[in-house]
Amino acid sequence: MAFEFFPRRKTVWALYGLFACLVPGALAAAAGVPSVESLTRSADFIFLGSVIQAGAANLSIVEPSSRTAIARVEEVLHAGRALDDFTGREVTVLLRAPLVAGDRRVFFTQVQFLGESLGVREIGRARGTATEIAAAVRGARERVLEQGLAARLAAADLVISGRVLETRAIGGVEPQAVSEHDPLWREALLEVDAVFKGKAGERTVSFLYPSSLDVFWASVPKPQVGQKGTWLLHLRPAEEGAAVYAALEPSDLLTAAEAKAAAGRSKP
Amino acid sequence: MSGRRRIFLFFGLGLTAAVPWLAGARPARAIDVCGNGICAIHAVPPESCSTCPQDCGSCCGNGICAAPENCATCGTDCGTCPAVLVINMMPLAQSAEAIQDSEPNLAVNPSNPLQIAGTAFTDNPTGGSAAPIYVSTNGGFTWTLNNIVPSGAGGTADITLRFGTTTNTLYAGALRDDNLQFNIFRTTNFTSGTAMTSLRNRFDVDQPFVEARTFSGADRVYVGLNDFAGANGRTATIDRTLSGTVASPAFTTIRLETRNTCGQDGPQIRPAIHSDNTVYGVFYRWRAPTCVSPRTADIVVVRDDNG
Repeated sequence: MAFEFFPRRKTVWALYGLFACLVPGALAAAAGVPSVESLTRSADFIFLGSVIQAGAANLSIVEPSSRTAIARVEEVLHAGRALDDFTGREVTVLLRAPLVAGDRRVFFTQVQFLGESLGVREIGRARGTATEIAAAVRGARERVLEQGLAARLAAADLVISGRVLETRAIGGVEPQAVSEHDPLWREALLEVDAVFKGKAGERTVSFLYPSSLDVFWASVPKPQVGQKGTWLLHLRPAEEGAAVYAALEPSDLLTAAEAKAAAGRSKP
Repeated sequence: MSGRRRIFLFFGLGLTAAVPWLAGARPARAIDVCGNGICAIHAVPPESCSTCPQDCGSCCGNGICAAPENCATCGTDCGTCPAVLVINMMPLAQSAEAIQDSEPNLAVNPSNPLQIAGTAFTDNPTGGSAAPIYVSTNGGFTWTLNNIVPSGAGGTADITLRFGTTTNTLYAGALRDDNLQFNIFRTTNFTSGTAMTSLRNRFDVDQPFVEARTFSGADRVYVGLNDFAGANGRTATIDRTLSGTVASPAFTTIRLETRNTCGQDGPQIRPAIHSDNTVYGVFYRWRAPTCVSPRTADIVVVRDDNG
């Protein structure tokens, strides 16, 4: 009997544990409290910080009120694109509900103002301690990045790593701009180290890239002779003959971390 | 540090040492109130010439040129303004920004020239769904990026701005970043974080250029644009409303081009509004015999005497 009883207790405890895990989430959802996952996906600036001064602002454009506070950023958990590093700095938060000085929490925000300081708009609050939520945000961010990379890999026709041997004018003729937005296509020749997706029949692969520094194209990577990296290439129809590979997006040259992840998940 | 500020410092410390109840026993609020004649530099938050000039005196004259002081507002501390003053519009909080901020545009509020709005191909630095405008409320000495232009992807393509002459209302003509949809936007408070309202939108349009002027309390808004829906390449167009300030303005599309072209007019179609209600438009008409660059073009000026 004892032998049977123990598994039953384990089952009961397991059910209790499951209940304890699921019920708060279910209750939170029922009460309209957004999940860390959804807040992480919606926010473009997430930080762990403390309220230094309630009812205040350190941006002249913001009128202080009970819905504003100055908070010190302890740790940036996510900052999109090209925002300066605000770790250790004080920012103005446009609050969803008042806080008091000393409150420490994870702020899920969107950037509203950039002036003498940063002004962010709080988009929601998650339930739990700051430490718990921060850990959940880190996990959610990893999943967001993994899913984003997976989508980019899926959209690419050829994923290869290698070294740039040469960049050259197509057919030996430098492109002429008709409008300021012309891409001014040039060609890069890549010595292939590894193929992570697609097929490269030879040891070298050539691909087009926009050499234009116009605002439409400036952020697309410009291959440099000797440069090593992993490229996401896309087939595009050529004006004459077979389709050609091209790098089209700013993210078509992977970062080192992305390249490592891509090598782990992509198959030729 | 100025004599005045030093005086306040010593005054505050001496008073605190001599009268302990001021520092401890007496409720802090009693000495924190701005306007009570005491410059409470040790209060939380501390009073200063910038937060409480009534008690602490004006910052101007303390020998320190600190924001929001500048050469125009406090020559004593900041010196005489040079004939040409170059201002870096990129805010201090985003000083590492290095993208290509092309095709700038500025609008000065005619009823308050200290208010200036600016645009360029500047991105919201975190992406997001709204693009920024540049905002200055002190005549351009300092700037703040305010992400209030709905754009889908944190930036815009072509974008221009104008204020109504007496309404303080700001209008923008812009192409969204995510799908290049043309929009006419409006805000009644360009320093607010509230997203601008879209008054009109459609696709297949290039280079919106907005002008506005107030007549009898109503903003007339004219947006020059290259509208590829114009038949036979008659693309030079103005979208116009005579009542931009009402909740849902009615717009009319006016074709400026009356002759066939080489497939389209040049992209720049610019309106101008005279205070006597005359409206002008100027554009390039791309025409035969040379329809490729370098093209044959007429410069065409049109006028409507009744707005």
